[in-house]
Amino acid sequence: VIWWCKARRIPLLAGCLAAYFALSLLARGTTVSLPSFLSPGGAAQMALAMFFAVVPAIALVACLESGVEAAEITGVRRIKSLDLSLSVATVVATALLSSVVAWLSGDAGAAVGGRNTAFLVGLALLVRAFAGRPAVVAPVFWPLLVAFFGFSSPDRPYHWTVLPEVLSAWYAAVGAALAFAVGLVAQFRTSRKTT
Amino acid sequence: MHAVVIAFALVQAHTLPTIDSLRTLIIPIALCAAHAVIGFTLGLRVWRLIAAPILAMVVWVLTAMASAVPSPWPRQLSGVYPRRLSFGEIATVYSLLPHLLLTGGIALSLLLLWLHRPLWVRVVATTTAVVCVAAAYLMVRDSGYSPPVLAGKAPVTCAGDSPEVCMPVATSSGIQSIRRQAKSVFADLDSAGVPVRARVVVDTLHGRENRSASSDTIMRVPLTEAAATHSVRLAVLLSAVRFPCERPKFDEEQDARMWAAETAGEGKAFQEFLKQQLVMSNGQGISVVRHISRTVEKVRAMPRRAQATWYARTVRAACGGDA
Repeated sequence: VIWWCKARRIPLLAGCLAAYFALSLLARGTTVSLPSFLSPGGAAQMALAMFFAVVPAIALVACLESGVEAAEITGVRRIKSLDLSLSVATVVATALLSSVVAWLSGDAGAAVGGRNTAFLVGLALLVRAFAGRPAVVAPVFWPLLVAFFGFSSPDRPYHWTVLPEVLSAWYAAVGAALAFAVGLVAQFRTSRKTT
Repeated sequence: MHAVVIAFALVQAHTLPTIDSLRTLIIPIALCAAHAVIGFTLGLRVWRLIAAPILAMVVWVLTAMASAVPSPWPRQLSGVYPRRLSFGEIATVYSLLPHLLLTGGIALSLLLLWLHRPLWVRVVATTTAVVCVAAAYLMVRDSGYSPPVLAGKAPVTCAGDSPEVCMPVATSSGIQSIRRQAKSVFADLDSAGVPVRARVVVDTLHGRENRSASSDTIMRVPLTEAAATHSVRLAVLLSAVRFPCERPKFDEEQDARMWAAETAGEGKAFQEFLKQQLVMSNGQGISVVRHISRTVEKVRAMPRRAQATWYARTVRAACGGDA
């Protein structure tokens, strides 16, 4: 397990999670106006925190992609289940950190970070199953897509966007859970050990 | 890539770029190079798999939000030229420079660091970055939302006299016919006893800053737009009916305009124009138009001299003078 930790650069993932926590706390409640094609004013209001959820997802994929490939394929350690639990742990940790941010800042909306990270991690894992390393850009791609095409008016996102939805939006929660589940399945079926 | 996109646009518009118009193109081309340098340098130093996507996102968010923050200066640095240039306008070099200084300065200093690095190179590189960024900030600190431009730079051609008609060369293909139409409007109003004093008719397409600023001798008319919709006479007429104040009263204003339009044989066109305007503002258009045309019909039945007096009085009344 220690070798796995070193090969996967777990400290770096932890650092990224810490960065996520610090950023979320700093930028709590900040919204920015960004260009949006389908919104009548050509702009949409987005929480800056929406973009921070990308950090844990990128870090996770980057960590999963680093490692000692040859040794892992031939070895006998149970890498696959470790990797799967790493994905789950990242999402759980982010959800906890988001809740802490929400509690500290008194802004319940900040807790959407966990849901958003679950969605982005799911998306990234799914893309990774097909594309491999380049999947790190998938979590970045989604918020940009949402910014450009996800708003019907400056403060009304479409349902499919997930990220900018409020905490109480059940469809966003379902979407995130679904994406995460599909991502985990994709990771399970295509992790290196089986190929 | 930029060149291909722009070439397509030019082909679609059947036109060639002028040298001056290519100025704004410098920004995207130079900034692409600068961002590439910054990205490569970062990639040499830190773990690419994480740095690349995060840098991409950070740069995008910063650039995108720069044009919407309340303070005006960030948008003068973001690399997105914050103004729609209209006809005859050229971006000033001074307004383009900050965009290049900020990103370009950082890229340049990183480029210097690619060399073997004795101390003095590091010092020069750091100084370059600091000076460029500071200079960019100082240049835009006090600027407004919209950068200054050089306006009215499209070449102009003029034709005839009394009235002399001036239009941008690019849209002046029908200038002789436009001049004849303007002249006929002037003649109609002259013979009705309300001579137009303006001797020069200038297209508003040339220099949008002065759109409303007609004076006693120069009349500004949207000639190019009017020529496109075959309503040159109406456009000239509307500009010819002038009031001694900024915001004339609605009823008197329309009475005077309608009379002038009927006099010059453009009554139908004016009624259509008025209806369109009223639909946009309040929707009771048709009855208002009917009321105005009834008033004007009565006036038109009067002798010529009396009509001119009525017109002068109405124009004065529109600005609060006694009726």
